[in-house]
Parts: sequence; structure tokens; C-alpha cells
Amino acid sequence: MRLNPWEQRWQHWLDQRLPAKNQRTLAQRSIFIIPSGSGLALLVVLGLLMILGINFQNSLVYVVCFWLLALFILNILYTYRNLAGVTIKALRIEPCFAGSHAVLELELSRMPTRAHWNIVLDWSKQDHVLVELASCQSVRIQLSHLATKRGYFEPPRIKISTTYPTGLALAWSYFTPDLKGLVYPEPLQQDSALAHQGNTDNSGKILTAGGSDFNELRAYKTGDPIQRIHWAKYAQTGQLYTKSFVDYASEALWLDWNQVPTPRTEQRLSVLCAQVLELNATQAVFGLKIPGKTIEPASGEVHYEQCLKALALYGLPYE
Amino acid sequence: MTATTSPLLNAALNALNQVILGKAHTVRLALTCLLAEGHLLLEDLPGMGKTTLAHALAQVCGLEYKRVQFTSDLLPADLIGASIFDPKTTTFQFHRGPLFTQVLLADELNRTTPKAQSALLEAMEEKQISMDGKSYPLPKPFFVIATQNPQSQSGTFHLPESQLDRFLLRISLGYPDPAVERAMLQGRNGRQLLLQLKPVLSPAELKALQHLVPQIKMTDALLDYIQRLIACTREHERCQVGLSPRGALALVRAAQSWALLQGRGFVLPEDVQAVFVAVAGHRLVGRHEQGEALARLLLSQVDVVGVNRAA
Amino acid sequence: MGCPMNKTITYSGMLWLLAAQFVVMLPFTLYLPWWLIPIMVASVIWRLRVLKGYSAQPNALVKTLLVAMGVGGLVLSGLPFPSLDLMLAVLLLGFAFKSLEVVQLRDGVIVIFLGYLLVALHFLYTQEILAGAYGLLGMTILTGALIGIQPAVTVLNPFETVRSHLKLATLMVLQAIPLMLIIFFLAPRLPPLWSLPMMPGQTKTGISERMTPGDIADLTRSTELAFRATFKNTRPPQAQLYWRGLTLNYFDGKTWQQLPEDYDFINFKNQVKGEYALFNKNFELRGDPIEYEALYVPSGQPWLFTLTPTLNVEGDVIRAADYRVMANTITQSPALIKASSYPQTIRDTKLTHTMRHLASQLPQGSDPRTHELAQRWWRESGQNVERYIKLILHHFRTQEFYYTLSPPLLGDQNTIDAFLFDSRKGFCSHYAGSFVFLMRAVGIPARVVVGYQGGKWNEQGNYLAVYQYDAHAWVEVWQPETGWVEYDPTTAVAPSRVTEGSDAFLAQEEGLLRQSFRAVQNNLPWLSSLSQQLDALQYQWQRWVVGYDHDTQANVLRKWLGDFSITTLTLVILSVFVALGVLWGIWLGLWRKPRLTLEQSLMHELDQILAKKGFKREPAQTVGDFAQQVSSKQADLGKLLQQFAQHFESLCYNPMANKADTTQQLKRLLKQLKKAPITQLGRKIAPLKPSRISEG
Repeated sequence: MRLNPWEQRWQHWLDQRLPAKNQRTLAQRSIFIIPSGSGLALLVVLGLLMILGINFQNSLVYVVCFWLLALFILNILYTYRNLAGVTIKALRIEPCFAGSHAVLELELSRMPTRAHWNIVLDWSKQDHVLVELASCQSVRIQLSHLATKRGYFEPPRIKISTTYPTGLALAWSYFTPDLKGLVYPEPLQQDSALAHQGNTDNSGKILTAGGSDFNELRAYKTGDPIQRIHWAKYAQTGQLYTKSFVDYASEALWLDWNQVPTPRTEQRLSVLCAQVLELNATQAVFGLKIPGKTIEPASGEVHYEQCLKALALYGLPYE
Repeated sequence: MTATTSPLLNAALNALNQVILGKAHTVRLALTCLLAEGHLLLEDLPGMGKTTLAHALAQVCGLEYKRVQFTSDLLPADLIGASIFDPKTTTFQFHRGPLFTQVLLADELNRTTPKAQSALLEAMEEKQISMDGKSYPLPKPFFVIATQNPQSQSGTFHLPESQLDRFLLRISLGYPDPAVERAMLQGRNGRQLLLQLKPVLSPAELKALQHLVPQIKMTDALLDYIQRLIACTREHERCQVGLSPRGALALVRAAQSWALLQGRGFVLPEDVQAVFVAVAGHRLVGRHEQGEALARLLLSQVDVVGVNRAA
Repeated sequence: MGCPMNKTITYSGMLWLLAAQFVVMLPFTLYLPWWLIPIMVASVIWRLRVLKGYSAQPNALVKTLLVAMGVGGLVLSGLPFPSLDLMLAVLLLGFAFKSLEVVQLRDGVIVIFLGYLLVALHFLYTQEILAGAYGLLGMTILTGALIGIQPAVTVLNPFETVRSHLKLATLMVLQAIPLMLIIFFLAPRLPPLWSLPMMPGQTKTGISERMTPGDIADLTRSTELAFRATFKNTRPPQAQLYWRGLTLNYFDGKTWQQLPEDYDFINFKNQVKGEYALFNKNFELRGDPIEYEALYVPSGQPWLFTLTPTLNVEGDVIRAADYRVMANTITQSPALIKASSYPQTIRDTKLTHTMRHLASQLPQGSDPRTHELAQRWWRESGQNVERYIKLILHHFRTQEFYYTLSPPLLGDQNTIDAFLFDSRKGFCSHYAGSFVFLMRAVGIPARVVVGYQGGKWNEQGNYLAVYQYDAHAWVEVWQPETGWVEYDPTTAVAPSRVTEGSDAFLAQEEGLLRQSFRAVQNNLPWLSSLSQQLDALQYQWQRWVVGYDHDTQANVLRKWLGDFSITTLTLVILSVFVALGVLWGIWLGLWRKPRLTLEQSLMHELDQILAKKGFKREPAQTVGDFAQQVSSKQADLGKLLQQFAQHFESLCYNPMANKADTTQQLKRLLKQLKKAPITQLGRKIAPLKPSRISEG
């Protein structure tokens, strides 16, 4: 997006005046206010009324004209008041995949003595939401923004505006959350990508006495659960036998950068990302090797997020 | 009501303090936990007197006490009990495990497998055991004191946050004061005193006291303070995970119980502050610091009366 | 600037618009075709049905058809083209039809702005107090509608929503009053930017500018107000109150009128500014002035009515050589003048040739019998003007002449003869016309003066109200020594018409006002007094609101600010605006400190007291804790503080505590704490800064 010098200066000025922060209470310093489109239209109507009043020398037409003018000015205060005192706070950004929407969670809260109506939070061309802050003390909202590139998503300025009560004036402020959201690479499915990277049969070592796979039949020991007793054998032999079960620890899979059959970095990352997703869905134990980083085999949410984060930030000047 | 209860409780506290030297606050918290019908998590190095505390608590309240050492090969059946085949009658009989007691010391809970852990936690939550389609109620009161060794890392299974939430309080005894330690070195051994400890409370009295806890009054001003605290845990930038509603309830319950222990019919902010670290320490997840330090930090930042709204 | 919100107007928004449209359009039915209302209602109902899903949105064909029907209706209604009436009717039609296609917020805003415009336009028709109040209602409803159509998150039920919008709108409209008044009183009033076509709905309501006595069989007289006057010193007696409007010189045998070209306002104005102007050399000032102020109801005529001769006038007026005072422009706003009249002045001892010619003109060969009679009396009076006039008046008084508002018709020719010799029944015009004819018949310059006579004194308001039924015609006769002298021949026939006022006189007239309200109220003193009060209110309204023009403004400002300069004016305006801004800010709570609860304010006070003594409580510190901390350093203070803490705890946290008692105790303790001395403990205790309070 190319900006002309004036817009650049304006943006720069805004950055200086309203630096990124995770919480801001809107007040005089941060609220801008101008007549809205319909406000300007009203001014035209006022001009018309003024001409009518002058030409017909009609005092009551003047009165209507001035009354509307006073209302218009008063309304600016009302609109200002509707925004002032609102505290906006960025809570978190959910990680997302490139090409999908990053969701920012915000909380708006107010002072107990004042109600606020019809506040619009707007991420230009992305998402917007209309909230009221009168029936409750605070409200949580989510705004989404398209995340195009992997890495960290730095949320752009959010415009908080209101035209309450009459729509004649527009008060707005900007809020830039000082948060970063992880954007994982866009998953790219590739057939047979996993096939030659390891085997998934049960030839691994027995991990522990477990409950998933049948192992052997052994003599009953005191304390064995009733469900495990092999009644058929008991019927045959009169001896109690217990079925024992084990879990297998399959040999860990390694997702290896070098084994991805595409030369291009982004594609490789995408393929690896898809594989991580796939393996995580099957709750497999897997490790990840990318240049400069090796994550030991493990499974579970934390591991999964760790892998995705490594992929997201690969080659980027963070950390 | 408090007029009659406080002498009892004071006597109990005195008795405990004679056994566990120089740890008045911790002892109080432990008793608070018992009164609030919660379970206690003790996080300490070995040899700090965890067992003594547990035993003493049981003794003072006249409760049945058992200790289970949690090891890596402990099976749930070892804890719960098992149905054992009686060849004479050719029937199975349920033999109750050590879990069926009033005070259970689950020593080094983090050493055992998640399976055994969850068997215990389930029992704590449900207050009964289901076995072979039959359920066996646990005795009342049922009070678990679990200990964890914070140092040992290898071969341990640390309880996940969701499971930690089941413990009302987490406390640690820590090293004794030099003076107390000297007394100990000079031969005043708590273990020996333990044997002489007489029950101060009867189980029935304890039960009556436990029923009093929810009746301790809280005013709007106090609830405001509690809510400010909870909100702070959820909103503070150093906080990753704040207090859940269950955690909030635990805070209230613990504060009420603490107030009862102080012989008061209503809760003061002091009570909340006294229990907050123990309640929130293991529930909060900080970005930078441990939960306990974070809880302390939050406590020092939340306005008691709410005069300074901006924080 | 906006964002892609859903800006479709909701059902309740449509209901708001319907209400607003109805309120705005209703008064126009008095002036414009009434069928505009059903059109509006039908359009709105259609739209509401569309919203409910019962009907389809009308397609282009239906819309075109509807508009064609509406325009057709307007054409048939026969409003003149081009006129403001027609323009307004078209505007109203558009206003009504617009609701059919109100879908988006923008359409709604257009409807509401049109509504504001129409509220103002209604004042071109009437500027009565009631109309003003109705306008206020319209403004409020329109503002409510403007709030109501905004896209909103609804949390209340529809009824509550509407109520809250109405409440807010009313509040805003009322809060806007002070600023409105300031702008109203201070904003400069400009002269009209361009000359206007015919006023909307304006019928000339003043006195008739021509006098054709013979054509009127039944003079209906309106009870409408013509003007009000206040007198600076004493009120002149009723019989002296001859309010001159215009003079009629030209008689064609039937009608008394001005010269035909004088009825062209622009042309006449030019003449009055030129050769027909009133020059100071024409008159000789004599006697004490009657100073008065008059506020005229707009009549669509330029004539203003003044006591003869009014020689000093303030106001936007011009004065003609026949001593009439007229408005410089015909406006909708009431004209206000400040004037002084010098009744003893001798006017025009020299008559110009033109004037003499005008005042002596008679139609050729008409009314031979009157001519004959005139010559006879002229001879009888020995060619003495005074005696001649007396003779005529004596004749009116002694012969069978009747004053009536229902005279017989007099035909087209020899109307004077017909009146003087046959019918002998008539009202002021008949007598004034015949009198002037008799004068001119013997060569004495004379003219008819039309205007108002008398008026009704309002005790409550201390002013004279002159009504249309006070319209009167009298004469002026010129003689070289005395100049123009006024005579009222009607008094010869009906003296009470002048001495008691037309109101009283007319009441006697059979059938005239028998059923009228005025007649009834004359019999009910309280009703009369009430009506006088209302009328007084009306006067103030007319005087200060409707009649507030450039001159009034200048007077008011001069009165308040003395000889003001631009600087003082700017300063005044600025300070007023700042004051108003602060007032509004406080009103709206923009500068209000966050409201504290009892315990919070107590704690705040305590914090301040102790901060001065050098002890600062951390916000997270409980009072008990703080008390202990203080006790360790200042035992006495600590003791007090511990007491405070105890009471404070029971106030805030013990539900069983006696709140009132505890609060009193706490307040007492606070006082003690304030006075408590600090004992020096070896080290200097520097007072700390008070803790920061309610930041942000």
C-alpha cells in the first residue's frame, strides 16, 4: 500500500500520539471527532433555513435553524461522551494458519457510572463489530483479520468509532494492540510424504503395562481386576489366568526438512506443517528437524504448538 | 456461633503448633483447608515435616489416618483396593485399599503414573469409589494431603493444571526458623510430641464446623474486592492463565473458612489476602514468574477499597 | 468514513419515522390539500408491511404510477403556479412518498431533514405561540426518530427502546435551548438577500385599500388582531386614537381609492422616496408628543397605522407626504416601530398643486342632487368652511341617518345621492365618502383616511390591542390657515362608536356578534381576564420572539452592553460559549469525578489525612494492616487508627453492623485523626505527597 506524503505524516503522527498498547482508556487525547456525512448534510439544511429566515425575515425559522445548530453542537458532546471513558484492552490473538483469519480478542469495559451505546470496532476492510456497553460492565469481542504471511501477525490499528446518538457526528479513536499472533505456514497436503519417513507398525518396545493391546496370558495374581480374568481358560483348567495388555511405543517419526521433496522454502514449510497436523491428529509421537532447530519426538498439544511455532518462525528475524 | 467455636479451633491450633514448630501460618492454612472440605497439596523437599503435619492434623481432629507412598509402579488397585477371589466361596470380595480413610497422606504424588494419580483425583472429586459396577462411599470427612517434591524432575509426572485445580490450597512448609531449628536440634522432636497428641475435636464437631463455613457472611464491598482480584488475575499482563470460576469459588470458600478460624462471622479482606497465595498459587500460570510469586504480585496491586480505580 | 455496517432501518425505526412524518405533516392540512396525509399514511403502512414480510416492495411501475397520481392531484387542486404553496405541496408529496422507499439509513436521514425543513416552513404560514409549541413537538419527535433509526445493538424491548430514545431526544432538545437562545439573540440579522415572490398562503388580511360603500350589503368584520401599541406616558383618550393607514383621494363615482399606479408597491415606494416624501418644511411642530410603540401583525400589506401626525419614527419605515407611515418591505415578521405623534401640529399650510388637484377631484356629472345640496348649504353657511362642516354634521345627526353594518346596496351610479337622499343607512365609509364629496363639491380639498379607530386596552399587558373590527374611515379637510384637519362624520350618527370603542358599539348591533366568543367572554369577567392574559402572552411572544429583528436586536444589545464594540461583543459571545460548554460538560458528566461509595470516600479521606502526617497506605493494604503499621511508629495515632479500622471493617464487611452509627463513629474518628499530633521519634517525618486519586 503506497501512501502519499500527507497520509504518511498522518500515520506517523498517529503512531506517535497513540502508540501500540495493550490497554487504553479513551479520553480527550485519543478521541477525534468530526461531523459525519449526515452532519454535513444537516449543515446544508441549516444554510437553507438561514436563507429562508433571512429572506422571509421570519424569526421562528431562525429559531428552528439555531435550535438545530445548538443540537448539532450539543450532539458532538454527546458523541464524545459515548466514547470517552471506554477502556479497550487486547487480550490475545489466537494462532492461525496463513491464508486464514487471525482472531483478536478484545475486551471493552466502562466506568460503572456511565453507559455507552453503539460503538463500532472496525478493522478496515476486514471485520467490524457493533457493541453496546450499557447493559454490562464489560464485553468481549472478537475481530478477525486475514493473515497472509506466516510468522508473527502484528495487528494493524483498529478504529473504534461511534456516531451515537444521532449519527450527526463521528467520534473515533485508534487502538493498536501491542500483541503478536503466530501465523503458522499454510498447510500443504502432499501424498506419500510420510510414507518413507518411518514405519508405524507395532515393532517398537513395550512401553508399559497398558490397556490397549493384548499381550499374553499369565497366571492370576492377587489384585488383578476381574474384567481381565480369562474365564474360558478357567472353565477349561480350573486355574485363574489373567489377560495382560500393553501399550507399544512405536518408533518415533521424524519430520525432516531434508526429506521434503520440494526445493522451495515456503513449500517445504507448508508440507511440514501439513504433516505436523496429520500426525497430531493421530496422536503419534514425532520429532521435527529443520535447519537450525531440532525438536525431540513427543506428542501432545504443547509439542504440537512448539513444532508449528518453529515452522512459523523459520528464517524470520525473531527471537 | 463463633463464640463457641473459636475456643475449640484455638485449642486445635495450639495443639498443632506444639507439634509443628514455628509454622503457625501454614498450620492455620492446613486447618482452613480441612474446614473448607478441600484437599491440600503440600509442595516441599523431603524432610520438612509434611508427614508430621498430616498426621498431626488427623490426630487433633480424631480422624483415621493413612499414608500411601506413591511410586512409579503403584497401580490404581493398590490404592483403591481390589476384588479378590475367594476359592472357598468361589466368589470375589472387595478388599478396600488405603484410600478408605479419613485423612490420606498421598506422599510424592508426582512419582506415580497418571493412571494412579487420576484414580486418586477421581476419588477426591467424587468422594466414592466405583468398582465392578458397585460404588463404595468414602468415609466422611475425606481429606487428602498430597505432597509433591518440587525438585525431582526425572521420572516424575507433574500434575497438569487441570488436576491441580482439584486441590483447594497449595502450601509449602519450607525450612524452619533458626530458633525453631535450634530447638529441634536440641531434641524437641515433633514426632515424639505427635504420639502424645490428644484429639481436640471430635469428628462430629469437625463436621459441624465444616457446615458453618458457607454461612460466613460476605458483604458487597468484600465481593467487590474479590472480584477485583479475580479480574486482575485474568487481565494482568504477566498472567497467562487466570483464575477459573472454580478457582474463584475456592478463594471464597477458603476465605470464609479462614474467617471462621479467626472466630469471625464475616469475611474481611485480610482473610482473602491470607489465603489468596495458597489458593491461586497453583492455579495461575504466569508468563514470567511462578504462580505463587505472581499471586503475591497481584495481591500487592489490587486496591482493597477501590479508591484508586485506575490500576 | 463509515464502515460497511448493516444500515437498513429497523421496524421500530420505521415506526419512529411514521410518527415524525405524521406530526410534521398534520398542520399543513390547514393550508394545503388534506389528501397528502392519507398518502403518507398509506406509504408508511405499505413500507411497514414490507418490513413484516406481508407485502412486496413496490416496483418502479407502481412508484411511477403513484407519483403521477400525486402530481395529478396537485394539478387538480388548483394551487397557483409558481407559488411557494405549490412548492411546499410538492415537497410534502415527496416527503410522503419517500417513506415507500425508505430502506437505508440515508433515506431515513433525508426524511428527517426534510421534516426539520418542513417544521420551519410551517412558520411561514403562522407564527402563533401554539404553532411554536407544535414546532417544538415536531423537533423533538424528529430528533427522536433520528436517534431511533440509527443502527444499534438492541438490548431493551421495543417499548423501552422507544421510550429511551424519546427521553434522550427531549433531553437533547431541552439542553440545546440555552445555546439556541444565545445564537438567536446574538446572531446578526441580515436584510433579505433577494426580493421574494408571493408569500406562501398569504392573503391580505389588513384593511381594504379601496372603499366602495355601495357594494357592501353586509360588512363582515374579523376579530383578528391588527396591531398592538404601548404608550410611553399616559394613554390618550379613546376618542383621540385615530390610527391612520392610508389616504384615498380618487373617486370614480363608486369607489374611493388611491391612484391606480399607487397600488404598485415598488412604484409607490419610489414615489414616496422621491417627490411624495414627507418633508420637514411641510409642518410646524407644536405641543407635547404622544410617544408610543406599535407592533404590527404581518398582513401582507405595507401599511402601518400611526397616530396623526407621527413625525418621529424608529424602524424600517418610510413616510409619505400624506403623513402615512409604511413599511419599507413587506415581511412575514411583525413590524415594530417606536414613534411620537404631535397632535397639535399644523400640517401643510401650503398645498402643492398636485396635492390640491388630487384632493379636489370629483367624477364628472355624477350625483347631481348632492352637488345641488352642497351648493345650497355652502350658500347658507355664507361660504364659511367651519359653518359648512357643522351644517353637514348637523344634518347627519338630526335627519334619519342610521349607522349599520348591513346597509342596502346603492347601485353603480350616483351612489352618494342614493345614500344621502334615499337609504340613509350606512357605516363609516358611507359617511366619510359623502362628507368628502360634499367638501369637494364646493371646492374645499378633502380626502378619505382609512385606518383603525380606538382599540381595546389590555390591563394585564398594559397595551392597546387593535383588531380588524376596529377598522374605520374618516376624513381630512384642508384649509389654508389650519392645514389638514381631521373630521369624523360617523360620530355625528353614532358617537358611541368612537367613545366606547367598536367592540362595545358592535355588541349592540343586532345579530352581529351574538354567537361570537367575544360576546360571551364579555359577560364572564374571569374568562375575559384569562383571555387578556393569553393575549398579553401573545404580545410578548410577538414582541420578543416573532418580532425580534435587526432593530430590536440592536436595541437589546445596546441596553445590555451599552455602546458595544466588536471586541466587547466578541468577548461576551466567547465567554457565554465557554460558560455554556462548561455547563453542558458538567451536565453530561464529562468532568464528573467517578462516584465513590461511602466506604471509598471514607477511605479516601483517611488516606489524605494520614498522607499529610507522613503515612501512606498502599492501595492493596487493608486498614487493619495499615493501623498496625502506623501503631509501630506512632502509638497514639495508631490507637485511633485501630479504632477506625475496627469500625471501618464492621461498616464494610459486617452485614449485621449498624451502618448509621458506625458511619458516625468513623466520621468522628476521622476528625480526631485529623487533629492528632505527631510525636517526633528522633527522625524527621517529612509529609509525603497525598496518594494519587482517581486517575484516568
